[in-house]
Amino acid sequence: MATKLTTSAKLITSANHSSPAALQSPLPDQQFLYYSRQLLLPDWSEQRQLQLQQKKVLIVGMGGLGCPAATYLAGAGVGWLLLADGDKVELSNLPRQTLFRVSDIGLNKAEAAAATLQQLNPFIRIDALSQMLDEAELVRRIAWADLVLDCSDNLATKLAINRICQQQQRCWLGASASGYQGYSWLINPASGGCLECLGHQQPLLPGGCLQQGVYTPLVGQLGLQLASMALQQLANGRRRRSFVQIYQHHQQQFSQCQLLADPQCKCCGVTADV
Amino acid sequence: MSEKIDIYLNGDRLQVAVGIDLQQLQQQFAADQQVAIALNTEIMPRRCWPERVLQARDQVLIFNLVAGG
Repeated sequence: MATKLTTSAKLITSANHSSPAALQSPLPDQQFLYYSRQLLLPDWSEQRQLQLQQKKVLIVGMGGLGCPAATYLAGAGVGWLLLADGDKVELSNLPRQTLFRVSDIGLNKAEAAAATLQQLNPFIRIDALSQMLDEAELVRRIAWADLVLDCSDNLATKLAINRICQQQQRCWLGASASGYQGYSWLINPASGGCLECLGHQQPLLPGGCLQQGVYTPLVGQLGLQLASMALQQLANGRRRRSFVQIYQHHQQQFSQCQLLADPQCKCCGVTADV
Repeated sequence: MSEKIDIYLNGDRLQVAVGIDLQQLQQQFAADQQVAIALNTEIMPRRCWPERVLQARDQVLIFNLVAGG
């Protein structure tokens, strides 16, 4: 299946870079102003900002998780975002998929999100893939990216990303939510543990947002977590151990747990070296 | 009457029988659901559940596996 790639080129101003390869130093004035609050952080710098501008992030799924994650990655200045989603914007999406407006209903989610984000940050490149990614396309796009965010809403896509990132030894992030249940994860193949070790190899009971609904702020919180974890991963390049952050609704808190590798896991079955 | 120990399940204090393992705990409290279990901040592979006997003051999180977004 061919994949349609749409670049919101008409929204890119002359001050924009056509690709992350266009490293400039120091930051142009407008960009310095744009990122000024971030640049004031004690561990941030123009050099760090320029390094972030070189990074490429693939976000699979532009729903309740993908919208907040992409918003904050764009605002932080990740140089090249590739947004993938084959769905169209529906009225029921608007309460939690905050990049969309009533006027976007019926438009492809990836394209509509790219257009909005380009208005938010004209200094980065944002492309849209307006089809669901099949296995071959996922392999190609994951190999392209510095980091992958799984914001999809279905188990098949999550397991495919898990498998391909394991094969390519790529660190990746993801999250899942339904009802009042939710969790995010960082999986580093080098440290062992994968989504199948967590138990996701079993067919899940019918569920998801269509059957169980979803607590609107939860997907927002998870999406923001993904953005923060991604920025840390991109900026520091730290090889963290795989972990899961589990939302506990009654306590209104997240608990972080290490993801242990299952030595007999059919997907990873690796020996940790971190 | 069998001996009991105190553990914490999803933040709540709970008394369970001495010798109970993670598999038995899951069957007792989440039998009908597809879940993952974290024991003292480590997520345990499912095949390890029958081998992990709970100790006093263990902290257990049982959470549903979901796939939505």
